[in-house]
Amino acid sequence: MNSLSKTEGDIRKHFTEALKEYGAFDRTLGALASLSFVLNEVKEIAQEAELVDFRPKIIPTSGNPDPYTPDGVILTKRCDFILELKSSWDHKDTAQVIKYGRSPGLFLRDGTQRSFRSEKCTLLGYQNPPGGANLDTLFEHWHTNRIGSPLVVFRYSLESAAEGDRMYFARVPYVSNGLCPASKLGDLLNNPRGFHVSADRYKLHRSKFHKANDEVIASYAAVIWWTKYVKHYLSEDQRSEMADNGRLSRPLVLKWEDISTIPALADVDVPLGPREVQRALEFLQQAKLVSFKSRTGAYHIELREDRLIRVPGDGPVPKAEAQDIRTKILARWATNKVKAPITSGRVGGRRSVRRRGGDPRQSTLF
Amino acid sequence: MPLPDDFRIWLERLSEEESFFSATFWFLFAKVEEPEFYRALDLEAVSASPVPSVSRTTTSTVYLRTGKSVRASFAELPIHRENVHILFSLEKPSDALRPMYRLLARTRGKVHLFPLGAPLMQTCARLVPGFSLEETHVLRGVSYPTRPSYGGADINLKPGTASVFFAKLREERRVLKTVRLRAPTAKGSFCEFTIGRAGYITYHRGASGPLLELIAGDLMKRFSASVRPFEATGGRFVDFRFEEPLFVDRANYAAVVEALSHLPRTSLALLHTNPYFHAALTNYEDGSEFDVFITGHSTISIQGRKEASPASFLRIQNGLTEQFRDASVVIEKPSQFTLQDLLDGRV
Repeated sequence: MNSLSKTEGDIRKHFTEALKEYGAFDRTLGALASLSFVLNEVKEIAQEAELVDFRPKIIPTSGNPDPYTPDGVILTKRCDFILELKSSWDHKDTAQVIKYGRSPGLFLRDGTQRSFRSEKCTLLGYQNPPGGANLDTLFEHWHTNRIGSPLVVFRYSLESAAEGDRMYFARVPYVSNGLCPASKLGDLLNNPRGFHVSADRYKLHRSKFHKANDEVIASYAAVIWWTKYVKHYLSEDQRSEMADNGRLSRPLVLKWEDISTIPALADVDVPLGPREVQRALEFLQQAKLVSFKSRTGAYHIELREDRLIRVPGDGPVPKAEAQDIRTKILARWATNKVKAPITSGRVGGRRSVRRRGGDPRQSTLF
Repeated sequence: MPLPDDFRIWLERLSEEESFFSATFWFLFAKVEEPEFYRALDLEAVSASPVPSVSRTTTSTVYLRTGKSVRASFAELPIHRENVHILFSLEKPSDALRPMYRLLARTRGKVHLFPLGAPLMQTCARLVPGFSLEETHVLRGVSYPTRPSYGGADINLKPGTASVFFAKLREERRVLKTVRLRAPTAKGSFCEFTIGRAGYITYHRGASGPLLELIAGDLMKRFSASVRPFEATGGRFVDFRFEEPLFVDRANYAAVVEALSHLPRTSLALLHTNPYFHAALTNYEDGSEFDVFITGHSTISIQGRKEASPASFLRIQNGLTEQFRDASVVIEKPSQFTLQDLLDGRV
C-alpha cells in the first residue's frame, strides 16, 4: 500500500514539476511575443528599428567556431541591443552575457557580417530576478571584463489586472544596473515605472514563437511538435487516413537522417530546429507515443487524434480531466518515467543531432 | 432562384398522403467547384428521380455496433447561392442525421453543415410578413442550459406562442437544439416545420410555399453572409463575442476545452491556461490549424493559419455555440499604438 502511494506520489511530483516548467517556458515565449509586439506595433519604436531578429547569430569572440545565439538582436538608428531571457538565475549566466557583451557584431541572413555600433546594450531579462549577491557577481565580472557597453537587467512577469492579463517589464532597481542608451526602446526600458503589454495585444505575435532562440524545454517541444509539425510529415495517403479515421493504421516512420529536414511553417519566426525535434521525439518516446527502432534507425510515430490517446489509468490526472494533448503527453511521460522508464541507452538515436549555429557552452534556460 | 412549382405541389401531395411526414432540407457550405462538390459527396447523376427537379443523389449508410445499419438518401436541389448548397431527404431528421455526418466526414472537411442559431430560428418562425411572432405556435422545443449553468436537456411540450418561447429561451440562457413550429401563411392556412440547430429545416405539413421561398431566398442569403468573415480573415483574429461575461470564472475554460476537444479528428494542446487561455488546435479533416485565445471575459479569439478553411471555422463556431450561447462574429481590426500609449498603460 505504501509502495503504491509512493509510486503515485512520484508520478504526481514529476507531472506537477513538468507542468510548472512548461508554464514558465510559455511565459518566456509570452515575453518574447510582447517585445515583438512593442518592436513592430508601437509607432515610434517600429520607426526607429532597423532590424529586429529573434533568431540571431552573433559573431563569437576569438577562438570560438560557432556563432552565439541570444534570444534577440535589435538594431536601431541610434544603438544596438542584444536580448537574452531567462527563467531564473543560473551561475553560468555571467559567462554567457559577457560573451554577448564582447561580441563584435552579427551575421546577417545573407551570410554577411555587420559590426555592432559603439552604442550597444545587453538586455538580460528574468522571470525571477537574481538576488543581490548574484547581481554583485554578475556586474563585478561585467566590469572586470571591461565591456564598454551597459548591461541592463530587467524582470518580466505575467500579472492579472482588472483590465486583463498582461506581461509586465521593469528594470531591476539595483545600484550597479546599467541604463539603456538614448533611444525610444531604451527610454521605454529605462522608465522607472516599467511598462506592460496586455495579453490581448501580444496574442497576435505569440504564435510566431515555438521556442526561444537558444533553447526549448523537451516537454514543450514535444507538445508543439505533435500539434503543429507532425501533420506536415504525412503523405497524401496518410493525410486521407487521418481525415477519415483520426488515426494511422501503420506508424509514421521518421528516419534518423531526416530529422534535420523540418517542414517550414508559415508565419513562425522562431520554429523548432533539428535539435529540438530530436528532444521532442525523445520526450514522446518516454511518453510511449513514439518508439525508436535501432535496427532501422528510425522513429515510429503512432499518430492518432487526441480522443484515441489514453492517459494511464493510475496517472496523475483523472481521465475526465485529460482532454488535451498537453495533459496527456505529460501524464503519460510522468507515469512511464516512474513505472516503465526507458533507460538512457534506449532513448533516441545513436548520436545527437549536431547543434547548428548554437553555442554548446551556454546554459540552458531552466 | 426559387424552387419550381412542381416540387411544391409534389411535396404537399406527399405530406397529405402520410400521417407523419418529414421532408428535410440540409444546408451545406462548400467552397469548391461543382464537380468537386459532387465527387466529395458522391452525388451521382440520375436519369429519373422520385423527387421532381432533382438530377443527382447519394446514399449514406452507417453501420451500428448492434449490427444494424442506418441509411439515408440525399438529393441535390437545383438551387445554390455562392457557397451554399441544399440537399433534400425524406427520412426523419433524427434518422438521417448520422448518415449526413458520415457523408460529411467522407468529404474531409470540404463540406460542412451551416449551424442555425436561435436568432436565425426566430427569423424563420415568421414565414409571412403580415403575421406576427405571436401567431406562430411552438409545438415542441428541445433546449439545454448553456455554460456555466449545468443540467440535462429540457423538452418543452407545447410551450405556447413563439414570441413567449424565444423570450424565455433568452431569459433562461438556453441553447435551442430543435423547435417544431406551426406558422400562419395566410388566413386559415399554416405550415408546420421543424428547425434543427445542426443545420436543417424539416417540412411536415400545410402550405409549403412561404417556407420554400424562405429556404431558397432569405435563408440562403443569410447563410452566405454568415460565412463571409471566415473567408477573409487574412491571419487576423476572429472574435466570437458572447453577450455575457462567461470567463470571469476561469473554471469555464474547461467548457471551452471540452467543446474544442469534442470536435472530431482534431488535436488540441493547451499552451497556457493561467491566467489567460491559449490553445493550439489542429484539424486533421482539412489540415487547418488555429490558435485559440481567451484574454477577456466574454470573447473567444481564434486565429487561423494560412490554410484554415471557412468550413473549419464553422466547425469551431458550431462546437463553441453548442456549449455556450450564440455569439456575434467580428474580425479583429489592426491597431497602432504610440510610445505614450505604452507608457500610460493603454496597451
